[in-house]
Amino acid sequence: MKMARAVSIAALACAMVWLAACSSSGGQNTSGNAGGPGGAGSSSGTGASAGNGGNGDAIHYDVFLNFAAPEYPADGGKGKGVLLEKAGIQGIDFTVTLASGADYFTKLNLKAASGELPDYFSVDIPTMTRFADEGMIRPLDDLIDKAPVLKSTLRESDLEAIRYNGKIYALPVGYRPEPFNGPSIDGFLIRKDWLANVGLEQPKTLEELHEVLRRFTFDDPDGNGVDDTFGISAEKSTNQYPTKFETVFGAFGVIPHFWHNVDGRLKQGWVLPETKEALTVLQQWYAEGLIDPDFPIMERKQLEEKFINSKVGIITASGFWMTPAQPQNAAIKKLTPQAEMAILPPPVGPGGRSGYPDAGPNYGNLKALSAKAENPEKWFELLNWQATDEGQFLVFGLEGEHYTYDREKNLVSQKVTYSDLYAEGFSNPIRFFQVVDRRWLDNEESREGIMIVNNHTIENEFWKTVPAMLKYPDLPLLWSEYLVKIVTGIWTVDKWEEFVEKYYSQGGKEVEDEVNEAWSGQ
Amino acid sequence: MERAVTSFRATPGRRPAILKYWHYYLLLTPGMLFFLVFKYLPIAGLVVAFKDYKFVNGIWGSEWVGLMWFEQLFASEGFWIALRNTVIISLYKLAFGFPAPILLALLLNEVRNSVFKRTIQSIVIFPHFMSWVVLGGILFTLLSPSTGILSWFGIASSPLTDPKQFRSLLVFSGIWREAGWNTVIYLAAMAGINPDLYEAAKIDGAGRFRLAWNITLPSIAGTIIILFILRIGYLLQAGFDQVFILYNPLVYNVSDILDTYVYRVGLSMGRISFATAAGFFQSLVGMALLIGANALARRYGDRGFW
Repeated sequence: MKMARAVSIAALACAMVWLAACSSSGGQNTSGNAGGPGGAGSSSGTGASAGNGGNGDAIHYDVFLNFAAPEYPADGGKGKGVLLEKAGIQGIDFTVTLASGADYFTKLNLKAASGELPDYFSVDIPTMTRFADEGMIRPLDDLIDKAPVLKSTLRESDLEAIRYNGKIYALPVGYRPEPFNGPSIDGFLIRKDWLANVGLEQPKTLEELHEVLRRFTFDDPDGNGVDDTFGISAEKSTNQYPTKFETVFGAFGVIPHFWHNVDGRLKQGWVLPETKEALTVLQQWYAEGLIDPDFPIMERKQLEEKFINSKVGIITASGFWMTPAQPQNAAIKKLTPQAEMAILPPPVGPGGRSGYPDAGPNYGNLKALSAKAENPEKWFELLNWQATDEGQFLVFGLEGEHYTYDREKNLVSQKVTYSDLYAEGFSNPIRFFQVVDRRWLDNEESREGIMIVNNHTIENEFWKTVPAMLKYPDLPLLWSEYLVKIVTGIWTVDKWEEFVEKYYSQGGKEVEDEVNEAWSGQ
Repeated sequence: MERAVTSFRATPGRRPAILKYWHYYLLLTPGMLFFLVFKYLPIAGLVVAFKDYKFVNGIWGSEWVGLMWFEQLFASEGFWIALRNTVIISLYKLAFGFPAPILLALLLNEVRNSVFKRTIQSIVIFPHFMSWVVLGGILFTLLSPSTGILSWFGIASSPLTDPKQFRSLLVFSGIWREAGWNTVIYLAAMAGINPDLYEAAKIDGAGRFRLAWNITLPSIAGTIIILFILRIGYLLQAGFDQVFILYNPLVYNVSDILDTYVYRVGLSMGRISFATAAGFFQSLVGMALLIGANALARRYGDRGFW
């Protein structure tokens, strides 16, 4: 009899946690013994190799990051010395160990289980929660307050979104002030050359977008003489991203799976009447044949293939697509050399509203500090330096040697590959605090596209998870079923009212109540 | 007979069997250990189905909640839809998917040209080695209403999005992938049939169909029954990979099976206890069906597992 897969996974996970719990008590006294001589030994050794001797009793930080860079040298290479010297912080030393993906978390659990929790390491939100509950990591609020430069790059909403038991247990990424360094990167990506071929301007309103889609579908925009194009497409929805064509909903002022403030009470966008209006528009577009009928079944990759193969004119994609260094850009230019792309400003709906969904705290690069880390203030001095203008450049290596910087254009041109940078110990492996920095984007349209997206966002009022969401996890599925069936015309738009009823009766009521309770307590 | 038995018994003046045949026992050990560690020990993990499992507290520290997860499981509408779909899809697959390899094996068995036979065999076995991700991509391309083969014939709707055709698609794509592979065991059974039987029947004037019907089929009946019983045990597992790759919002209500349901609302949300309770339920039903099928097979055919 074969055991259900779920059971064995659960059992393995349990066994691992149990091991962790067992050895953490025994690990406590050994870590004192092992840590002492180990720390002293390595600091004197690396002190010499990094060329700043006389640092005999430096505080040693053990850093473990979720990042793939097999080229990174075990002794930290040249980058380590440069970082410590430039930052000018005396008396500290570090070693970086890297692992990536699921492997990273397995190793992190093993390290934690054997009482060798690193001082500073990558986490995700579930791991952060677990470690915080066990008291293995420390709250960072006071340290962040003492690091003014670092603090100034953080988004308050990100901190709010990861706050746990009233405290910040992990450090999110920061953002540079330029608008093209904002958190949102996805918008409506349109084939600009198609627009020119059918003789239209960039659409500004939903009305104009409709006309563009019609011409893209029926007027042979790629000029191959065959009627094989669609105006717009999307990929199949998941519970994490249940809504497609968000921007059309945005033209009515809602994003279906976001929480909106309606007269002082938070409600999810899909129960608001604006959603019905957007569904009406989409259903009409589908009936006219403007929407690719494959959208409910395609994977992301298949969708991108269609765009690259000139089968659809508009998809939701990132502003990076216009940059020649991106693989998608290379692919599309190879097939259609004259292809041009742009990110559209979100089309304005009849009520004058528009917007793209805000990306929220999902940049996914959280780092935590062990409760046992020695002198955490000192470590944050280093992080604070990394947030400064000078510190941020270290991701590109050394000026002149690895990159050049055009101050006028605010453009970084890289002379070597990332692989070379890693081999010398620079860039992401020693980027202990990441400030999102896209000054390498050498394409004006890419920069503009990302700016457009970040300048026109619709905010989500509530990012956190409440227990009821875990209890009724299939509500997004209910939505995506109604969305697809209404858009494809299998159901009439009036079925939306049935959806709202079902949503509330199948747990949505409880979710909404809990969200509002948590929100008013914020 | 008597001598054969004594040779395995420890008699005075001889070493006990376990010492005498220690190398056989040694060879057996890794297999036993494998089953112990990977098949039997994890059964203990079932205990989390009755607890509110939290990472902090570990298995033993977590609170007992009795049958809470089972109550929650049976109370949710999605579960019953998933259960209904699982049973329907499994029965379809049993009705059409189970006989398919037998038929194919009988046909292959009749092929006399060995080069041709091997070529065909390789071709029909091949899809088994491709993952559903790849096969899903192929199906998607073939059946796309805008670019697929169907569009050449003017068929505008794809079976992938039509609730009426989706289950048939699951059954047929399942046969496409697995039928060839499953012939292997039947062909092996056919290879073991005594050729004298065929010769005798031929002398009595039997034709090809007679031979297949009266000699080949009865000879592999035991194999068929064993495989059938095994198959019954998997009735509540309708094929996670296949459904997960192929389903979409348009066909959720006819295609969401227990495995995908548990994955979505249990594992992907970190609700380990809930997922375990659902898995436990599946296993219990599977075991009950297996024992039932075995009992039936023994009663009517005298051929069971145990």
